[in-house]
Amino acid sequence: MLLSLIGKQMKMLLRNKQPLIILLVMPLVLITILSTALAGVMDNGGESAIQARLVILDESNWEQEEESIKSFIEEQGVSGSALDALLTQVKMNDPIHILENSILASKEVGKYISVEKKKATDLNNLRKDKNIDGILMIPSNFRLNYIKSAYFGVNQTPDIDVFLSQENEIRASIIQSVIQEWQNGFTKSLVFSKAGISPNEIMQNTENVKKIEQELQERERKIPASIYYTVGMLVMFALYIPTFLSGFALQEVQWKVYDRLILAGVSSTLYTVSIFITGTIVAVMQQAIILIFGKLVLGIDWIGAEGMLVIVLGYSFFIGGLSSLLTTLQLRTKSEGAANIFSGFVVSIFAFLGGSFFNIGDVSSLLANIGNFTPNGATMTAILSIQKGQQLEVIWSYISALFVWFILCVLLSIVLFPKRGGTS
Amino acid sequence: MKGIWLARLQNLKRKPLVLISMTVMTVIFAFVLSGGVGSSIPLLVATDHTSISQEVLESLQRKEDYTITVMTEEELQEVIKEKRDSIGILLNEKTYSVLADIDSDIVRKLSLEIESTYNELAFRGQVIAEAGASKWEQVEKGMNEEKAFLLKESSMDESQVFRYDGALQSLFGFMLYFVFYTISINVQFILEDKRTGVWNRLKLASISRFQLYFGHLSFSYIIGLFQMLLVILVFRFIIGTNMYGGLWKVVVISSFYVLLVMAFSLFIISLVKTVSQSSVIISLLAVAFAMIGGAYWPLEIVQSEGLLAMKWLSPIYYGMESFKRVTIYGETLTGVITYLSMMFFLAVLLLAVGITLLEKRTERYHSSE
Repeated sequence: MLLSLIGKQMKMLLRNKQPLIILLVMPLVLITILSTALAGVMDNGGESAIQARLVILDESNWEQEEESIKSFIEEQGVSGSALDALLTQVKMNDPIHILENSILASKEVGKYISVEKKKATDLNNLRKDKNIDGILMIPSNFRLNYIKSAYFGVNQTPDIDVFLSQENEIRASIIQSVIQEWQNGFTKSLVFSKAGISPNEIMQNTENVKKIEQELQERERKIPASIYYTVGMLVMFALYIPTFLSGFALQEVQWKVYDRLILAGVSSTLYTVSIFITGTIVAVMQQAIILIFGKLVLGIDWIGAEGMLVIVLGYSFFIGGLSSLLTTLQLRTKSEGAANIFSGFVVSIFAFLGGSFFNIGDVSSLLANIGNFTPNGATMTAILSIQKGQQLEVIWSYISALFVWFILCVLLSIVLFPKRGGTS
Repeated sequence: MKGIWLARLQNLKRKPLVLISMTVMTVIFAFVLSGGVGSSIPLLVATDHTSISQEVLESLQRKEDYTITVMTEEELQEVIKEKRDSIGILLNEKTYSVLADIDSDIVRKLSLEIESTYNELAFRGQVIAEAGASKWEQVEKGMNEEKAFLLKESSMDESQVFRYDGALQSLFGFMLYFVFYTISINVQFILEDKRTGVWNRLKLASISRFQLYFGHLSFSYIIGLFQMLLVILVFRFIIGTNMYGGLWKVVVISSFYVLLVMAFSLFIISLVKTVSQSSVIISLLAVAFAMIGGAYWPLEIVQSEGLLAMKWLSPIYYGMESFKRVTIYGETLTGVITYLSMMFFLAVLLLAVGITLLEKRTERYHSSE
């Protein structure tokens, strides 16, 4: 009897297209989209794909300004070979020259910033170009003014206009930080020369700190976006199973199928048990399909088979329990209200808190802690721990949270089950 | 029409819980996630007790973004192993490492911060070693006050103010996301009425279709707008969020956004049969729209061109973009007129298609019953 009841539930699921689409197609599509879209953000080495576009507008160049610089230095009373030496030194240390030929030309920076030179008269058009992330506008007498203020202390500090796009803040901030670093370097050497310190010694002796990449324990690995979102969608979409099963149950009550079943001698307990078992089986199958999809299509190497088995089974039992609880609630209230609130609101909130959409711990640790107490959040954390390559024992605290939820569902469905039939 | 309003009001009076809880949830979530409370990132730090690592630790402790727990290296390794969400930092004299499972933006930003703190300390140490502590003071003052040249930063778009505000971005994002739900739930009353037959009885009572739709939709619109304004006003006046003088512009944009979401929900319910179907689809769409519309994360981190192009499908994107422009970037309403007119145009289109489909279906119901 139980078997034929389960068979009936499975047939109902298979013959309705909508549940199949939501339970299987949606998660697979979302997993593919999310893991490719956000791969660059979460995975190592992906950041070089972000390349900012910087345009430099220079109203003059060294050759144009050389004459006036030369005559300015002569006015300061320098002449002859001293003048030539100073002129070469000044030319070597020209900020624009350094920026263009050593900072932006370096391999490191080149990975992040591509540079173009345009005419200064185009400024207004360029400012409207959405594809440009930053513009550096060097005014016509910048070199002369810089030399006046930096070497001879006359004149005001010259300035440069930096226009940054707000369309893409990350790229603009890359440009911003490189340019600020450039400014900083010149300020440092200026301050040193004013304070009478030799900049070379300081610069050469300053040791840079080394970043040591996290040493992973043997068998441990990092979680790439593909695993993260596969697990996230896996736990989220399993939560839709109870909605559909309880929806069918309500339909059976409305169509008097339930009454006929009762008349045929099926106890209401058996009916609920069959929903529990169906929910569990469907959850196992759904998770298996999603995991296999991850392995075959996204090339994920799932590890820790026994841990995964424990978690997937535990979660499936919880889904079964939840299915019977929702069915009970629907039979009791004789409306779709419970399942509606559940599927429309509770699932989203749980998925949100559990970290299915993004790693919520990045935004708020408080919410992440709450999320670990939701059944899906606990399951997700447990699976991710296993996938990191950790030992089996770390998952027990999450499994026990899941177990509490399971017991709660079963107890509530026993207590709340309408004793005198669904429709009387 | 007055009758429909009264009925809906009565319904709301009897079951106010959903609306109230949704509004409260919206405020709480947006508040927590936009950095109002508990947003400082917990860091577990272990040092090797050299003076440099201690100073780096102190400079991290001075920052408000982080809540720091100091522990020994062994404890740190132990905790990191067990907890997925925590970020651990190991500070040594000449090296450091950031221990985290997921290489997120925060981890990267943190690494940069630590690195620059180390480098500044090393620089200071070197200056003091070469030239003495008095010179360092001179150098430090010079670094701040006498720049070699000045950088004048401004926005590329002349109509914008140059400003970054991440907190406001996430406040808007989560507000738009949650409001999407409440408005949609409100529109489902039409489906409920149709299913229970109330709709047909009203029609028999010679109420015109226009009155029926207009009555329902106008009520849903007002409730949705009311809820959204409540959330905005709570943030502006009780929590004190700085909207950069764009409050009234935010209100105007909200009125367009609510209209678009309402039209969208009507379109959805015209495609499905039951309320439970529509709530599943709406909850999935709300998530998808929030993702592609930039409510959860800024859109620039998305690298796939196809996904970026899909942002134009998302009502949340229109709301998000125009909110950001009138507040953070200080644009005028005319600056976001494209978004406003797109919202209005889409709303009218969806309303027209939705109502047509609903009407067709009602006719089919009649003929089959």
